[in-house]
Amino acid sequence: MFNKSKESLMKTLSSKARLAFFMLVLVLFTLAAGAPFATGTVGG
Amino acid sequence: MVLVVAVLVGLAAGLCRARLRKREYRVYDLKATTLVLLAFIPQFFIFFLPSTRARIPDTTASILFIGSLIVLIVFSLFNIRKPGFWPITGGFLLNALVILLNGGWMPISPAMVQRLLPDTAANAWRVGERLGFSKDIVLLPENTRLWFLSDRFSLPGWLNYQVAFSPGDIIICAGIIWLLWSLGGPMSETQ
Repeated sequence: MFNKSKESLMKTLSSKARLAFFMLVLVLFTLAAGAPFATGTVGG
Repeated sequence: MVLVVAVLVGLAAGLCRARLRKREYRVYDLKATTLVLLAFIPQFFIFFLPSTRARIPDTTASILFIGSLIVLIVFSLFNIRKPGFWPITGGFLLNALVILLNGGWMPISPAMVQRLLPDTAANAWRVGERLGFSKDIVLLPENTRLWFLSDRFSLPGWLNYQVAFSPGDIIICAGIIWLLWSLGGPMSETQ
């Protein structure tokens, strides 16, 4: 039983880590794909 | 910034969808993720880090920027079969095309610059030159190749934050929202 709950915890952590990594890649990709737009301050 | 907002909107929508249907929010494995980091690093020094962006000449910055765009295109092509990556890649190619055809920078019209920066001194920018440390170059529409793909849209005036964006950016936003929405759907949608 202990092994089963540990396994479940590891699975949850793993899926959370995968989601975090996926979001990190996506945010970096969107930042790089968009690059800084012309915004309210020149050079800011 | 518009694209980051698309990430937040898509993520919120996808999470709500998964929760309402009592499904797990599943992510898939992206291919060649190192390429994203590889593309972001030069841009970090060109656009974001104040101590380096002022020292890098525009020509060098333009070459590095184009190099990072090529790396991102390769990453998109590696993942093109994933949900949402078709429009992301398509919009991204449109942006890359107009940038490549206009000397390595995204064109923006003087009228749009005046709209975005109404309080800026007249000598803060010039037609034909890069706009501050952004990716944009100020060009007259008649001197711009594929003007309709340039940074020609802005947010409504009543919003506190003003930003210019291109048709390619809108397509990328749609793809990102679709991608993050699909992750909250049935398994068949993410395969």
